[in-house]
Parts: sequence; structure tokens; C-alpha cells
Amino acid sequence: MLAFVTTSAGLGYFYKITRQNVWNELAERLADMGRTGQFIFSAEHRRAIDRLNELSEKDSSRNKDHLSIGPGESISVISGSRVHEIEKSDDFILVVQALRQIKNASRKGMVNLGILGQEPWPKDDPPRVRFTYLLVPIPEVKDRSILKFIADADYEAGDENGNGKIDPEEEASEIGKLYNVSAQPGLMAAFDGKVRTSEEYYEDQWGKWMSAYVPILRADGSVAAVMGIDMSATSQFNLLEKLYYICIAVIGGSVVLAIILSLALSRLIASPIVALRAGAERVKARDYSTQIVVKSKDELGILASTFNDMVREVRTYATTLEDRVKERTAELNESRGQMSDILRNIQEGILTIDRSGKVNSEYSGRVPDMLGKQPEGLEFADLFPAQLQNSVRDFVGQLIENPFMSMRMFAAANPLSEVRILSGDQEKVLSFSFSRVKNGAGQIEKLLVVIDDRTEQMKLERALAEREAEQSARIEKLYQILNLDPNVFKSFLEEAGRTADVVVEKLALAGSDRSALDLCFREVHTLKGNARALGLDAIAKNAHELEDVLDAIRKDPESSAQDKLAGAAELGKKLIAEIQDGGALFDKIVNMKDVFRVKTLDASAEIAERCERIVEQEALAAGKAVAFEFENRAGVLRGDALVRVRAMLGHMIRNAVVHGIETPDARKEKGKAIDGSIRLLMTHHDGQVRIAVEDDGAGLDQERIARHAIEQGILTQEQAGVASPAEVLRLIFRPGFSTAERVTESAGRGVGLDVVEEEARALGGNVRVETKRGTFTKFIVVLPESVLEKRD
Amino acid sequence: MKILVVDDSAMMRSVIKSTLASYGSGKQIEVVEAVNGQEALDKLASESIDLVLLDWQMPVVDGLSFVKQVRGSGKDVPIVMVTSVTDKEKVLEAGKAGVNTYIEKPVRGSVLWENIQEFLH
Repeated sequence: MLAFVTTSAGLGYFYKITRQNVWNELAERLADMGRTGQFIFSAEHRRAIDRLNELSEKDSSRNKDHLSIGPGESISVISGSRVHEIEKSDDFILVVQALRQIKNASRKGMVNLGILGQEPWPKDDPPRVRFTYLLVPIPEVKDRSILKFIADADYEAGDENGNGKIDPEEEASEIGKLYNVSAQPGLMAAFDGKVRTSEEYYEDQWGKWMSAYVPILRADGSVAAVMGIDMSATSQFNLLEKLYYICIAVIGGSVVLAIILSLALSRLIASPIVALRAGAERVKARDYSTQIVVKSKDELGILASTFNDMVREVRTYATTLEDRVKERTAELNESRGQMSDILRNIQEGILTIDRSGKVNSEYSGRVPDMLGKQPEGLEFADLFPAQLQNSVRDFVGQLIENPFMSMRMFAAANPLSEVRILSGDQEKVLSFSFSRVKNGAGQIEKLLVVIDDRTEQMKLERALAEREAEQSARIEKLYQILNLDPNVFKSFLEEAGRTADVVVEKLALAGSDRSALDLCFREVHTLKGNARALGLDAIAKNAHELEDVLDAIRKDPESSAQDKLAGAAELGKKLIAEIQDGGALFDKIVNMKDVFRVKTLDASAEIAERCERIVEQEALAAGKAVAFEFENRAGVLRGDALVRVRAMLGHMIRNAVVHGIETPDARKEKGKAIDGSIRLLMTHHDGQVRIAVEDDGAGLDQERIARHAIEQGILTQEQAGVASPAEVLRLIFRPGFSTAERVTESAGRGVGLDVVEEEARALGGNVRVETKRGTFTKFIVVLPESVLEKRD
Repeated sequence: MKILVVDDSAMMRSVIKSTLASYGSGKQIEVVEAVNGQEALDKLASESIDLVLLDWQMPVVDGLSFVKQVRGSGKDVPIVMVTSVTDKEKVLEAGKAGVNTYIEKPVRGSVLWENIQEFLH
């Protein structure tokens, strides 16, 4: 646009200047011609002009119509014949010749001097000046707008351009003709005495003209006439017009060119932008294969290459993303499948609650089983017993609504941390724990509830508690046993076991036999006392229970129904079990001792220590003083034999202290040493192991044994009479045979020696007794040598 | 950081105070004490308190009434209840009244410290 304006303005200016110069130059040239031409008009010429003026005035018959002609128009006012006459006058010819000289001076070629005629001009050299003529003012028109022709170089009409007819420009302007020159101010102004030219061309009926107006001055300086020199401006005009059109064409061309250029330029600039935009549209439509070709190295080129890079990255990312989305979708599907599998198979109860407190459809397979109903669509609180519902509703409501309260606090306020629910016909102990499920915006969307079935756990806990109590009782027992002397405990156990057996046996037969019941009661009572004395609480407790029942039966024999006896028998069996349990514990301890001690300690030393303790304890209990000696010449006993031998020794030694050794007073009386003595001797020879326990006590009283046997109904009077001393002595090995005057806790119940015999037999051996009244008793156990540990 | 410790037991206050002092040695913790809810309300009105450690059972104004009055007046100062009250419904009631969290007595220092962390900025 700017280029267009500039071009237009430039060309316009150029055209204007050129045009002005053309007309100025032309006008100057015409003025020069006029000034040169005026010298041709001599005084003679001037007088001739004045005379012709007068003459034509005389012949003119002008009226008002003649004076009302328009600008550029002319009108003849003298008759043709008169004009011809004047034209033949010397004055006229003189003036016309001067005018023709001036006209011919504008030809290129030289003109022969002489009379110049009005001839057709050679085509190649027409005079540039087309008309030369003389005009004078007329008195009627003071402003000189209408002038009168005096003479014209071409006063005869003639076909000057040779086109075969008289054109308007070829018409002659005869003398006296009036001409309205109001359009030619220069012409009027020339009468003031100065050469004038028309400023530009003007047009009249003869064509386009450029004129110079030259005043012809008289001697006194007054203007005789004005000579008009008309030069055809058509060629200059055409030239200028051509130039004008060229300018227009150039401007038009430049406009077109500018438009084309700007279009091309804008295309050049816009095409990368269009390409970028199209590319962006394609990328928007997710066509990531898009690449833009922009070859320019300007900012657009950089932009395009950046764009391409970006699209490539997006493509890579999009491709990766698609793959990842696929991957993730597959994973999600899988995990959803897994999730529902998990929900179906999981052992925990899992459900969710929506914001309104209703249970959602997603819950694990165990839930209905746990709750005893399908919870879907139900209000969560309604799943629980009526008295819980309000607090559950309140709690759940707060979980959803109260974001300020900590989960720790909710855990403390959870009314369902342990709740008993009747599911079907069984009571379940369930524990509900809650967590909040938040959505992306952090709002609580639902509650996740995990239900833990604690029923089994509770049962197990209860069982465990029972077991623990049992264990601690057992440990207590063990502790009590460990606190005891093993021999004391062992003998207690044996005695208690036997007592219990006897009681159970007697009870089964006793019925309402008062004396049997009394006996049982006494036995149990003693057992209880012994157990208590030894700190064996479990046995004492059992014995006490049995004692109570027996006492009740004994005091009220009428109601001693069979069931009460049976109950007593049950308690008796329980007592036996308890005693056996004690025995089992004891054996375990003993076995442990075997494992940990027997192999490391000398077995004989252990036996000696044991026996010594028994002797000490029994002697103390019986108020006797006894020394114990031990000698082992046999070797080490095998573990199993050791246990039995220990049991045998326990009985034999206890028997020796209780029954063998006399009281210190009795010994003093007999003149014996106050301290009794017991010797234990183990020997090994002839494939036999002999274990002898000898005391220096009172010896066995055969008569008393026999008498006791008769009392007990073991022997008849006759049998007793014929029995050998050895036979009588053997009676003491019979079960339940005892001759002790006093029943002590330790011996004298007729228990012991039968056990010794039993144990000896169990080891493939036997037992016998040797005695001398008032001197000694010796029990000899003979065992096969296989009871000894093999020596390497 | 100003912590208001409200407890009618001087021993309890000093236990909490020494806990805060030993665990929060790196922080600038200032302890303000009150012996009951009324005194706590007065302290809360006159001082800029960042956290309240509150006993439940106290003479004059108990812990729960204190919480109700504080929340009723539009104050959102964090309140941590340190109490031997374990009744579930009562704990929920405290939560509804606007207690932020709850620590059971007897208080172990580490538990107290751990549970007031989120309120110490």
C-alpha cells in the first residue's frame, strides 16, 4: 500500500512537472517567436494594419447578435465580395506576407524567399505554427473579450492537410470576423503591451492550441494590433496524454505488482504458519505421524523443527502410553479378577458402608456366614442386636462426618471391637475394625470394614488358659516334689497308691459295713495329713474331697445309697490318678536324673546318699539313732535295674529303721550300743549280684509273726504249729502283712516287703531274710549279674 | 508453641510437662497449666494456645464441658484428651464434642509424644 502511494505520488509529481515544463518550454519558444516576429512589422506594416482596421470598420455591419457569440466562437460580419476586394489590397498582402514569414519560420526546412502562398505543406515538413493572425479590439466591446480579425496568414480556406475536404481548422478567418476570446485571457492581456502566452493548451473549434500573443506597437508605443501565433499543441498534448497514460499504467502496474508481490510474500510468510496450524490440527486429532516441512531458517523454521521434535516426543509418549494403558488395563482386569477371587475366598470378612450407612454390594464371601445373613442393602447398624444399634449408628455416622476425630480415638470408641452375634444357632465372637476410604478430593466416600471372627480364637484362648492353669498346677506339683526328699516322696506315693487302691477296693465291697467305712475314712484321713505335711496340695485336696464324702456316708449310713458310694469310688479313682500322676512326674524327674546324673556320678554314691537320707529321716521320725554303712563291691547298676533296686532299698532300709532297730531306751536296756547300725553291702560273684541290708536290731519275732498270721486269717492254728521258722519268716513278704505295733506314716502298714519281692522277681531275682532274735535282721536280694552295666 | 495442660492432679501435670520437655527439647515448647476446666477456659481466653492436653474428670468444669464451651465459642484449637475414661460411648461423645484425639492413662511418654505430633507445627 505504501509502495503504491509512493509510486503514485512520485509518478503524479513527475507527470505534473513534465507537463508544466512542456507547456512552459512551448510557451517560451512561442514568446520568443513572437518577439522575433514583431520586428518584421515595420512602420509600413503598422500603418497598413491601421488602414485595414479602418477599412474593415467601415465595411462592418455589426449588430447585437454578432456581439453575443460564446467563448471560442467566431462570426463573419463583412460580405464575401468586399472581403475579396480587401484581400487583393496591397496593405492586406503586405500584412499577410509578414504573417506567412513568421509561420514558415517554424518549418524545419529552409524556405525560398519571395511571395509566400497559401499552399499545402509537404507532409514531412509542415510548419509547427499553424496559425498567425492579427486581432484588434472593437469599440463596442471595451473588455476586449470580442476581437476583430485584421489578417490571417491562411486567409483562404484550403485543404492544407490534403485530406480532400475543408476541415474546421482549415477554414479561413477573413478580415472583420469577430472572435470571442474570453477563454484566452492572455490574448486580452497582450493589449497591455507585453508578450503573453497561454499558460496551458486550450481547445477551440480548430483544435488544441498553445498560443503566444504579441502586441504590435506603433511608434508612439500604442498597440496597433495583437499578433496571435497558434502552435498546435495536439502532439505535445498527445505526448503528455501518452505520458499520463504511461504513468497511470505504471501506477496500475505497480499496484498489480504490489498486490501480486504482497500476496506472494504473504504466501511465503503464511505458508509455514498454515503448515504449522494444519500440523497442530492433525496432532489435535491424534495423528502423531505429522511432520511439517518448513525450509526457511528463520524463527518459523525453528518453530517448525521444535514442533516436529515435540510431535515426535508426543508420538513416543503416546505410543508408550497406549502400551502402558493396555498393560495397566490388563493388570487391572487381572487384579479385578484376583480381587473378586480374593473377596470370594478370603477368610476375613470385608465389607464397605456407603455414606448413608448402608452396606454396599461388594463384600467378601465369608461375610454372610459370619453375620448369619446377606448384608447387602441393609443398614449396617441393623446387623447387630437392638441394644447395640444406636451406638453403632452413632459411631458410623461420626466416622463419616467427623474428620477431626482421630482414628486412634475411633478405635477406642469402637462399639464393635468385640461383639457376640448369633449366627444361625451358634454364637460368634466378631471383631470389627473400620477404616475410611477417601476419594480423589479427599472426601470420605465409604467405610471399609474388616470383620475378624474371634470365635475359635476365644475358644483357643479359653483352652489355652485352662492348659496354662493345668500346667502351672503341674509345675507347682513338680516344684513341690522337687522340694521333697525323693525317697520320702517315693515311699509316700507307694503308700498312698496302695492306700487308695485298698480304699477303692473296700468301698466297692463295703456297702454299709460301718467298720470298713471307718477304716477307709481313717486311711484317707491319714493320707491327706501326710500329703499336706509334705506340701503335696493336689493329692491332699483330692484326699480331702474323698474324706468328706466318706465322712458323710459314715455318719449317715441310712442315706449311704449306692450312688454316694459310687461317687466316693469315683473320687478314690481320681485320687489314684492324682497319685499316679505324681508317680509319673517323679519317674520323669528320676529319669532326668538318670540321664543327667547317673552317667556322670557314681551310681553307688548316689544309692548311698539316698539310703543315708532315708535312714536319717526315718530315724528322726522314730526317735532312734542309726548309723548307716554302705559298701559296693558289685559295680554299676543298669539304669532300669537301678530304679527297681532303689525302690527295694528304700523299703528294706525303711523297714530296718522302723521295725529292725529298737528304740534307744530298749537298746540300752538290752546292753546294746545306743546307736543302731544298718549295713548295705552289694557284692558280685558266681554270676550273681547280692544286695544285703543288715541291721543290728531286735530281729524278727517268729511267734509274733505266726500269731499275726493267725489273726489275719492267713494261717490256721494247726498250720502255724507245723510251720518251719523259714516258712513263718516268709509270711512277712505277703502283701498287707505288717506286725508293727504302731502304725506310722512310713512303715507298718504291711506294705513294703511284698514290693521288694515283686521288684526282685521283676529283675529275675529273689529275696530272702535271715534273722537272729535280739541280734540282727538281714534281707538279701539276689539278682542276676545282667543288672550290672557292662564294662568295656 | 504454647501447650495448655489441664489436669487437677499436680503430679499428672508435672509428668506431662516433663514428657514434653524431654521429647520436645528441640522445639520451643512453653507449657501453661490449669487445674480445672474453668481455669483452662480463662487461660484459653487470655493467651494464644496452640494445643490443649485435657483431663476428663476434674472439679468445677470437667473436660467434656470445657470442650463443648471451647467449640461452642468457635475456637478450633486442637484438643487431646488424656484420660482414664475408656467407656466407648463416652469416648465417642468426646469425639462428637470436638476432641481431636485421645490418649489413655496411664500415659507413656512416647505414646503421648507420638500422638500430639500432628498438632505440633
